[in-house]
Amino acid sequence: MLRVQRDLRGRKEQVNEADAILVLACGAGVQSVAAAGTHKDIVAGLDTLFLGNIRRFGQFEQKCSLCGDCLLTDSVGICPMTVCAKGLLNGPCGGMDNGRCETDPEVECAWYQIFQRAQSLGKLETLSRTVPPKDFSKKLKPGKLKVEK
Amino acid sequence: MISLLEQKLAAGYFVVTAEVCPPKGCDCSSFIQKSLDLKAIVDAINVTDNQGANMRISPLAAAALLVRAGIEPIYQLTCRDRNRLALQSDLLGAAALGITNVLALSGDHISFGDHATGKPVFDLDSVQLLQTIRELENGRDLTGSPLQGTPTFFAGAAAAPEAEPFALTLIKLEKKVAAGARFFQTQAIFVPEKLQSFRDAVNHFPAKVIAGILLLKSAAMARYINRNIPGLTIPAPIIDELETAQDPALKGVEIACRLAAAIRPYCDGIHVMAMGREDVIPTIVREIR
Repeated sequence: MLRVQRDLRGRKEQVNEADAILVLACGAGVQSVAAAGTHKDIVAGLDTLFLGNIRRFGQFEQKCSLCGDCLLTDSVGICPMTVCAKGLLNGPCGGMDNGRCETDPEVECAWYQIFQRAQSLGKLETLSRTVPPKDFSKKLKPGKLKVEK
Repeated sequence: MISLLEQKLAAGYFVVTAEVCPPKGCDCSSFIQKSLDLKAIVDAINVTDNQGANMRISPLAAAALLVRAGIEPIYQLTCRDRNRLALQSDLLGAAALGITNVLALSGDHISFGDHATGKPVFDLDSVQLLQTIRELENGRDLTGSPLQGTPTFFAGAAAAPEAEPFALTLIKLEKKVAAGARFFQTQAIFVPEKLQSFRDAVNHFPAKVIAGILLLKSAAMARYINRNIPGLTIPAPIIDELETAQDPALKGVEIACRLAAAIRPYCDGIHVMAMGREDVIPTIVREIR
């Protein structure tokens, strides 16, 4: 946020001449610009979708929900919270068939992915553990974090 | 309140349950009439919860109306539309209104229904919902706080015997039983051999199996279900049978009767999903009684 302020100050003339500032970053970037003290209209030229892993050029996939209560150690490194359309923590729903997700037959069921990986690691027994209700208090909005020195 | 369904299953009686969909709207007269027409031949009626993520009257209200009409409901409760407060609150309400049977479900995804732009909840999953029911039955809420009055439920869960891979499905079924599921109502069965192997796999569970029978009306309906209904696949030979039949609706009844008779040895009861053709349920029931 400080850097945005500094960059805009360095381009004071251009900013003053502008009617509005169009931001092509993410939702967080738009708000950094809005908070930078320019008193200009802000146009958000975006619809930020998710924190995406890049599969290949131009192909992004959501793998993490930034939930603050990580389950990945116990789910063989695949997040059911995010990869399952329903965020189910104890196995697939009744809509899974032939390893496909009910919401999109093109998509592999998250629990099928977890099952296959656990099987290949010889760790199927980890899936038998019942996961208790999740602590969503870690995910309350707006999130903030101050790291003490 | 005591669940007669539970008592009948415990006594080894072969039960019949049927699904009746509550209305979109608050006029429940036709819903109650359909249920009353079935009262003499079924042991309990499943009240669906915003089935297929299509908004309808609350299943809690509809199930309570059945109790008032002297019919035993199986109250279907999904995690899709309610967080843990609402689920517990509705369960306590159900107990207070005399509802004894609860079917704990995840719920079809909201994208299938008529409110596809809504926010899905899924605060709990079906295993955690079963655990929640057990906590309430132990006189505590999910945080351990004591309840004023302890509910008693006959809790059940869904099972999909034809879904692959079955080994993955089985892991969740084991968790459901450990969490307190005492009966399963299955997805519609079209291949009796699959129910047989399902039965073999779950026979050691202390849970009864009520197997699903879906009434098909036409080949077009079967294809529509294959495209749009999660977890249901109607095999091609059955679709062909409907396609070439002179009277597809009649053929659908014949298929349902044939399947009911074929699966009877592998279950403790059948669950008929007649999709609006509740009038033919007696014909199907005659096949297994």
